[in-house]
Amino acid sequence: MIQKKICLIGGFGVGKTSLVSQFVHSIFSDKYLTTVGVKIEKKSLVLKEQDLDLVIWDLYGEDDFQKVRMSYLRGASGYLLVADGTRRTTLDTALALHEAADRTIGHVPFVLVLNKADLSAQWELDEGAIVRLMQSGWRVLRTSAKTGIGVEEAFITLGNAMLSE
Amino acid sequence: MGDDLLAGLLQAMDMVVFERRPDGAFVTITEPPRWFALMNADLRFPFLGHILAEAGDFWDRRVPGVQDWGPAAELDEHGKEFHYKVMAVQAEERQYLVFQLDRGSDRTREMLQKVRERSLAESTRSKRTTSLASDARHTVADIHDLLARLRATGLTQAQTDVMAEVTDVLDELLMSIDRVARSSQAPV
Repeated sequence: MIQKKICLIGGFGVGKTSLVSQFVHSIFSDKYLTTVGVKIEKKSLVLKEQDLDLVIWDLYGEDDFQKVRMSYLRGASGYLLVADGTRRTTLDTALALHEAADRTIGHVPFVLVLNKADLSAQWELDEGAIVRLMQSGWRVLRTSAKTGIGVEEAFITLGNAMLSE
Repeated sequence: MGDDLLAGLLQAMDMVVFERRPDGAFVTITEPPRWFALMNADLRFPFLGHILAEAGDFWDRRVPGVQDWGPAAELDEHGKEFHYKVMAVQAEERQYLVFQLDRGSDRTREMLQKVRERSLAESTRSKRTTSLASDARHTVADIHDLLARLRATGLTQAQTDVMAEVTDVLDELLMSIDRVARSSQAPV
């Protein structure tokens, strides 16, 4: 049994807690509930014929009132960088958090998750910027914590990347 | 302070205090309250492991003071979320690890929730206004085109005067649209 710590980081209201809730409990709630502090969940997977225990740290969202304490990432084998596809500024926040994470824990696998794919009519992200990130080697996935689309794939992609390290 | 008094005080403050002995062992100096017992399941201790690594560095410096972590969220036996904080304390030569129920987190969440909901609503309203303004600008441009085509057909003086007035009204409308669009993008 391999145990890996992963973190979810991103701006506020991007859906980090909803992604974890959908992945771990298959539950989605439409009501936005601010996360205060750190929530830890656990999920077991079988990847590459190996039992993998993911210890998932859902960190509070970053904004002007709460800055993410990067030391919480210490010991993480990877992270999901979450942005809300319907709010352009959340991608800027995610990119800034990625740089901070890189400085804190070095190069570890991560997946950029563009959440709220069910609201594609309100999509605001610059496709060119996303393509450039993918061309530079970033793993980028669209998810919807509401419908479940892409959620498991995001965690599995990260899990596989960590096992390949 | 007597042991009973101290125990009562810590209990009232929802605190659990462990003393860190020189061999690294932790010894509780008071009876842990009920909420603390909930934290013995395997899911909880990743957070403690994280803290202990950092707290170890803090204690090794032997500088009197406090370093804190949290809040961290847990669920009680009814599935209701509660929060706690953890503190590493260096007091003279003694070292303590303190857990405290964080009742203030509910207020913090309430406040953050309001601010963020307002911010999200404002962002949605701003996007909607920008979109409406864009549609209105296109409509005005279409009317200008129609007026230009009318002019090209040859007009009487009276019709030309009316057209000039319509053009002025459209220009004022455009300025109003721009004002509304700008104000919707101003920070809250």
